[in-house]
Amino acid sequence: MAIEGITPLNTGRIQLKQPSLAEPNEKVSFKDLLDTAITQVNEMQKGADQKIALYAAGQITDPHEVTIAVEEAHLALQYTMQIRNKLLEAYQEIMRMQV
Amino acid sequence: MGFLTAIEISASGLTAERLRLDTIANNIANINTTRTPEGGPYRRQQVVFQSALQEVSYWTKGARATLGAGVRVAGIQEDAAPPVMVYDPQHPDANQQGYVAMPAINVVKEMTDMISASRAYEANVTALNAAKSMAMRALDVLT
Repeated sequence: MAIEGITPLNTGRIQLKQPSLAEPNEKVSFKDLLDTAITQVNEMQKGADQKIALYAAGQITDPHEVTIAVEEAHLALQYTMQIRNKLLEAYQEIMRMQV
Repeated sequence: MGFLTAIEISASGLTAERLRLDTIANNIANINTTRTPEGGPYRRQQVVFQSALQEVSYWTKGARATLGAGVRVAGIQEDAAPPVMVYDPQHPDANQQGYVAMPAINVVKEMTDMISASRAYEANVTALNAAKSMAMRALDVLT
């Protein structure tokens, strides 16, 4: 059988996969961030209201379940309001810059 | 939201202790019950607690710590102690020798269990308030 010479390996250049940045049309806008945050807080408030209604109807046996749901919704709202204030402050600071 | 985990854990403790108080109240209410649907006198009920199986892992500076997810009630167990025989031939449930099988419930033990349950409930509420105030204090960083 014919023994061929050893040929150099041709692996080609190993391509490094570039870390995928968000495409320009997939950019997360500030409006979307605020929307999702407010939607989540609204969901928590609605959940707390629903638990109050269920408790009044007698379906929930634990009173602390209601109070904890109300408190969690209140906390989430506080956080969202504070962060919104900070973001608005930063925005206004930038808008005040003289061009 | 990290602080919600502490609140959920305390909430599970509150539910467990409230169920324990329900069982104790049931024991105290049935302290003279000689008739049950299964036949025989009332048997003392006891809740069995179990730490919740779902474990949450937190990475703290490279060291992996596992934190339980609170407490859950494994079940309500009936006491296997034999009923106390009391001599009372006039009782409607007396047997032929004139003895009535009364539940083996010690009211003093039930009262101390009740104190323990209500103190544990208060302790859980305190832990919950501490977690809540910690979260509110974190907001002070912004203002």
